[in-house]
Amino acid sequence: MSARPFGVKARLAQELCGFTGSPKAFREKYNVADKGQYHRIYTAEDIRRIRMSMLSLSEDSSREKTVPPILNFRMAKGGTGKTTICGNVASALAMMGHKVLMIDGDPQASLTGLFGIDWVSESITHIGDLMNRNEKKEKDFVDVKAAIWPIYSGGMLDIIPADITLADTDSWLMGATNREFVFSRLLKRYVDVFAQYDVILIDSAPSTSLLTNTLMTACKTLLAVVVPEGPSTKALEILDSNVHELNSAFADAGLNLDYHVIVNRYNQTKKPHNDALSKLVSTYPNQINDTIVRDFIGFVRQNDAFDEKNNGPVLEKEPNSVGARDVLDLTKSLIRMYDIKLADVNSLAPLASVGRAA
Amino acid sequence: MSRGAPIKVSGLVASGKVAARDGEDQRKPLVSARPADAPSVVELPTRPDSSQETKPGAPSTPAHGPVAASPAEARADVRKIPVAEIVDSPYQPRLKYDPEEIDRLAETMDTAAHADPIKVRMVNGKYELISGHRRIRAARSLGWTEIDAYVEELTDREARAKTLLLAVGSVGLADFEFALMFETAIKEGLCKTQREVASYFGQSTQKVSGCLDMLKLPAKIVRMLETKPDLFGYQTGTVIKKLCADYPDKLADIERGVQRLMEGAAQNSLKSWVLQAIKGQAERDGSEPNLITNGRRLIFTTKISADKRSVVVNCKVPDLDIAAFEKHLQAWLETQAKEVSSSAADENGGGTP
Repeated sequence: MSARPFGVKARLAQELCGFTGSPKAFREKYNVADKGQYHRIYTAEDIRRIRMSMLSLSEDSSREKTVPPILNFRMAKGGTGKTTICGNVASALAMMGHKVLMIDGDPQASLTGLFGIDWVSESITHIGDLMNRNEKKEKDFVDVKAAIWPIYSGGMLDIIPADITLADTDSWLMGATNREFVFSRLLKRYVDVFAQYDVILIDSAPSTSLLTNTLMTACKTLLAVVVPEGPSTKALEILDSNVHELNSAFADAGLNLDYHVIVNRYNQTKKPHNDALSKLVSTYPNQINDTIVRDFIGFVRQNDAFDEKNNGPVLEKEPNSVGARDVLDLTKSLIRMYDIKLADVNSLAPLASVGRAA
Repeated sequence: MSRGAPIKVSGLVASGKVAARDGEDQRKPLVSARPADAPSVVELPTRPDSSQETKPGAPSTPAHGPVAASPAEARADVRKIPVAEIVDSPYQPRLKYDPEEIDRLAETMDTAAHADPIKVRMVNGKYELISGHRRIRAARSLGWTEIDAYVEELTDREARAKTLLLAVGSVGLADFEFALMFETAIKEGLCKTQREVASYFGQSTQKVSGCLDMLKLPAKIVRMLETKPDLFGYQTGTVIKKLCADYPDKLADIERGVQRLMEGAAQNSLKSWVLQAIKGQAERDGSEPNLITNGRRLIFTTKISADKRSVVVNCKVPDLDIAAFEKHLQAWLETQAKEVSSSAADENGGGTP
């Protein structure tokens, strides 16, 4: 499958690069000879190149061989927007110049579908397969690279897709030794593949299973996507106890999982939403992200009803919408929280306009 | 949904739209808390559990070391203080108190007892209010001598910030009062830009800029607002601002229009009233039409228009040969033109039969 052609116009590109000068200066300084100054589209690769030159780094600088920060979108309830937020944040991170790897950890494969991959007909090697082969300790090398599909060119956004067979993972995980750390072991063994990315995003399944547990233990802070409504806040309590259980079971292994709450699909005019939000704010102080993702119909338009090939996150389809604005703000706060770096360089450039003023 | 700035949890809390309730369901996070300076998580301004709010030297806390008081301990700070020794905050944005509202509040406080303690701080031996300006008025009207209060130790700056923030969620603050509050926030450096003000107080940027514009209205109108803050809202303010910009020499008319609001006219009638007043005058500026008769019948009327550079001639007789009249008029104008070129007379006229 070839990469998706996606780029943004100069104005948004300037914000994504964190360039504070005039639009004219931006166009002239970072202009590409064969494309002309005006009406050009900046791809994720272009933005990475621009940001690298702003930081006066050479274009081929890369990360050291360590596992990058992992963002695991996890919630004990379906339909809260894990996949939507995950896909959009991934796209936003890539468009801010980071090299991003998405891992679809949900047998429903909705993240795979969001980027237009038809998992029913395509032949897919999912994360469960990779972990399984790695556990068998066969002499032959597990070709992790072959399982990775490109989304944006230049390795800016890649995905390890999923299909329905990922649901079988639990059956063999049951017998695996130290099964909660199967995913961590995969990361460690193929660190040279994973280390080329600045950040890894995992879209987890809503169920509490062995698969979701092993994906959880690899990261430090989970991202719980919550709709400010009763069933969703209830599910957050379940997630909380799930996290607590894992932490106490693996205290010796030094596991100290935490979670961070992202409020999604909030509608200011609905009183129950405000009530639920009040509850959340008092129950989980210091754990709620300040940026709220508002209820926005564009998130529903992400999935084309007639042709899967036309699917795509809001950031691609409606980059100037309310939804995209919220996603960008959220992404900026996550960069700060997870300390996501550009080729190991701590750059706060795209955060220039963040804070209360943003 | 508005297309404005993103909604922030902190903004919603500050505006009082979302209240962090101190309920029994308060749970300690099961996992170790994030460092307090983590910037992207919500910090609750009203919760007294952060060590920043308790100043060293405060009577209830030790002099050094950050001691986090739990909500229960903070509640112990509630004490009865004499009503007579409470003074209003100089930072309170509210200018007018509706006596009926105060009566209603007094009634609740009398029957349901005083549930929510007011907040004060000590200044020069007096208790200066932080929040509870309406409650204290109600207490006075009930003849209470003592009232429950949280006594906090705050610097002037902190007190100002807190008073402003708590006032936002308060009942029925007029837009002009908001405007003064926003202005103070900018002057005191709490916020730098209007956008920051908007997210700080949880208001729309449109409202912030509208409110701040109210302060730039003509001095006489601002004085009227000072005596009656709810005279008009920021939207009407924008209308007035535009009228002032469009008709800078008709300030008196605009002021009369605003005066009408004082007398109870509806806000949305302002623009049409002012425009009518201005137009009416414009017509009076032109001369009265001259009537030309043949003794019995009205044949022509002539009128110099408001700009004093054209004359409108109106023929009132339907059977007059208008083409012939125009020919004569043209001939006369040509002779006039010749005279103008020689004597530079300044009167020229355009005729429209």
